Amino acid sequence: MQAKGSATGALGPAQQAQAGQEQQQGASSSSACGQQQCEQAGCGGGGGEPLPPAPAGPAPAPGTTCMKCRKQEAQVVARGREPLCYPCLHDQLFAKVRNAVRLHGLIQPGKTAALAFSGGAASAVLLRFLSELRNPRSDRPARGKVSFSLHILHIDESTALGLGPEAAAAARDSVAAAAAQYVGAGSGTSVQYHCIPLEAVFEEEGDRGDTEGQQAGQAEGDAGLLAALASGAASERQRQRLQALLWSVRDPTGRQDLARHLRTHLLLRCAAALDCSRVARGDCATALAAHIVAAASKGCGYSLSGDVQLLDARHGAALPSFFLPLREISVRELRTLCRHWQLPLAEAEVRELAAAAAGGGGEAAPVDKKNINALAAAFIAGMEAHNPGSVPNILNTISKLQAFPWNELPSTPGQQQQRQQQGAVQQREQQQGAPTAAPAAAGTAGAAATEQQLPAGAVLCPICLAPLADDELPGSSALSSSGSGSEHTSGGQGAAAAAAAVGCCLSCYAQILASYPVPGGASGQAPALGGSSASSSRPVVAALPAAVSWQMAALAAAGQSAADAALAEACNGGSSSGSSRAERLRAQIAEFLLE
Amino acid sequence: MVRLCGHCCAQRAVLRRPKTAEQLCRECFYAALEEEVHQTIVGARLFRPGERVAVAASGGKDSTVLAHMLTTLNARYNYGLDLFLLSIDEGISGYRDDSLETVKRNEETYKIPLHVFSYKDLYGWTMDEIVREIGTRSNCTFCGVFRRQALDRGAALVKADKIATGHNADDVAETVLLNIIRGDVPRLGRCANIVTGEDSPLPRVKPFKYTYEKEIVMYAYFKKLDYFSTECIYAPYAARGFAREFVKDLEAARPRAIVDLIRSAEQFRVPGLDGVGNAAAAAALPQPGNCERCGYISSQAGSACLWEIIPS
Repeated sequence: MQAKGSATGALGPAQQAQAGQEQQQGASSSSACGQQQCEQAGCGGGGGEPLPPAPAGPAPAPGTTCMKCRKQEAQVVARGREPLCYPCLHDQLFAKVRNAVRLHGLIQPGKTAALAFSGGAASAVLLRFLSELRNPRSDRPARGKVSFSLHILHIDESTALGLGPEAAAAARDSVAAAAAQYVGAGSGTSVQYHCIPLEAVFEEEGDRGDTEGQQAGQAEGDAGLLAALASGAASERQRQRLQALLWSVRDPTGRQDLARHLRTHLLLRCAAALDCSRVARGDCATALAAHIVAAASKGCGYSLSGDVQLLDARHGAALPSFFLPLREISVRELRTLCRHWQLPLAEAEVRELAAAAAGGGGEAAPVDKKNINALAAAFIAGMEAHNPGSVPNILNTISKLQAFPWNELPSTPGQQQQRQQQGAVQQREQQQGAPTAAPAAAGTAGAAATEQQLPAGAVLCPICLAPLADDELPGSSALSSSGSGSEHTSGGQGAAAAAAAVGCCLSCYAQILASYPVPGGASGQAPALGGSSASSSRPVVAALPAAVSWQMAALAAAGQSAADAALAEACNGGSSSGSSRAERLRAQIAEFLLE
Repeated sequence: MVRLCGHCCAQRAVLRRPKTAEQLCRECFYAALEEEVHQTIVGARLFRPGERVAVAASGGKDSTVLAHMLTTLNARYNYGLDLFLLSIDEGISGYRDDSLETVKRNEETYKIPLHVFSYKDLYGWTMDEIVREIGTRSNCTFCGVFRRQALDRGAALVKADKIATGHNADDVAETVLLNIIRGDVPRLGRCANIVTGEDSPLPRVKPFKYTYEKEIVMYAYFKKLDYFSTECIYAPYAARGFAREFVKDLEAARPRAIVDLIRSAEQFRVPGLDGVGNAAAAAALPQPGNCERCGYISSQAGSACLWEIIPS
């Protein structure tokens, strides 16, 4: 495995020199990765969107000094305009990961973290940085490092991509090879690599899909997951279920998104089964910008602000949280680092980088124009070439929108110490008779509480895990006075009500469950979405994993009860603004769901 | 094999509706589009009976169809509106002078009075003169700001209560995308509003907010409406072009995506709007104020008044 890894995982020195030289000459290439594998396997990170191809950037003029250390010659232009030498570029990017882990305390000493690994450039850089940060010994502290265990998780999507058994095995091997050099056991901590097929998302049922066995099913499911993680395989029956589910979705974007959502579900459950508190994802700025444009085009404006922050703890204590330390870094910088440090990459990524370097000013590979994600990625690639400053701007804009309570970073040990000191000072003042508030208790309890004090009450779509907007909350139609606008906007007549009745968000309902009218399709008449789509959504709902469809039913039911309660309250004379009514409805639904 | 209209099932289907892909006959298409605009107007309570409404008319397809529709719906549903056409002549030769002829013909067709105001009359110069001075960069910015002021001044002069513009769904979707790219969060929160400046003496409404550009073109074509269809000669320099191409691709992949983009903008959690975020965030959100130099409404407090840039 080791030898194979070094042969296939990295560009050979001759190739790499040539690639570097081509980049120096400023060859502009924008060949989109024609490999479907790359596009859909998310070669930009374990949990991300397909990466738009990164054009070779401008090279700094010979003789320019690095603007950071001012000693070495600048070899690369970062962020569109900063000439840096490679070591300084490394430090600049490494600092982001270090801050996420140490400054914000997102991986605590002695804990276990997971890394969503695809074998792409972002995954490779993230894995490298995390291992640089990791102190393998739990007994002896190391300066600047944190002692933690790491589980590298790769979700094998061969079934979703329709790969044959040989191609699938080759892809799996090359990803494993890319991670191989980091795997090992320290004293007290370890780094392990796991590959699990996407079809394992059906693991919780075994042969019983009934909802009564839910509790027992969960425990069985965990054990089953751990077994699947160990063996790296799933049953043929699960494979067929996954295929049937994905191909019951008519819309190509919806199908790709559903596969991604299932991947996220599986990632979270595996990380939970392995006792990880956090999962690191390699989503970079470029991939996030493409996600923003694609999600906006699907009507997901409400949930967007929660997708692009550093911490995503939307599941509270129920499931691990995600953190995105590479979110401000562009794909070009990541690929530069990969090339320069010769980081091992999966085969698909290697092919794409070589094609990009050798392609020169060639024509971009055709974009799948029926797929909104592909269109968004191509748009971002075009913007990056045309106006590089605009891509980080996109992320900045959405970051400035109001995030959710579950995006808040936990207070750090430094802040807790500050609070403790403040508390001590105030205690002294109290003893001297000065009246103060008493955060002293908070200071000492804070250390224990930070991990648990995640706000509950987020009402999420069971399929895509996006927080439901005010008008998507089941039961909200009973409360709203004017239903105007929703007929013209997403879905048409009654789509919002239909989505709430099924128990998911509007976007999932429209692009995954109901059948979108296919432009130029065989059927001449396309039904309005709200009309007969109840019947057209049933095959998809039935094919979903039992846990998901159970949650959808629970959400729809909870919404009904909450709406009844809210109506009763309104009748008893409570009139308030629309947004606070929605907040109350949301809180009530969250409570119902917890029970 | 004759395909029947999906709505009336009586006549032959002659077109496919871009927004919903339904196969319809002409009359049902007209009815569907008019009904949609009517529902938009009524649902958002855009007008009150007795209001004087200035229909911003350039002679292009959007404003011509807007004039046609508002006249039709005003009569059919008794909105009780006092409609008239308001046109601005920016002084772009080869473009604006031709389209104004079209508006004059519209005045006769719809029997509603036309008022024209020109940059030359209001300000003393034309767009052609400006572009000669400043070149082709940012000329759309200048033209847009001046036209807005001109419309407001013109409408106030003829005592209008509201201005109705022909911005369609494609326009709004492109604007949303542009504002995301530009990083303008407050503007992002406002750009998808169907009424802007509702607290000002002259609010502007967009009855076509959910109406697809392709459908407007089809409506104008089938009804043989008289409109002027050439691009402004300075348009190739606009930044909007890139966003426009993307929106066209989106529409081809999934027609609903245009209204979905608009929905996203309506749903964005902009700090300070509608109780999102806390009071501090609301205070931090820049509110439109007034320009120090010329007193006009401005969201860019402290930046240059364009009047200073115009060579006198």
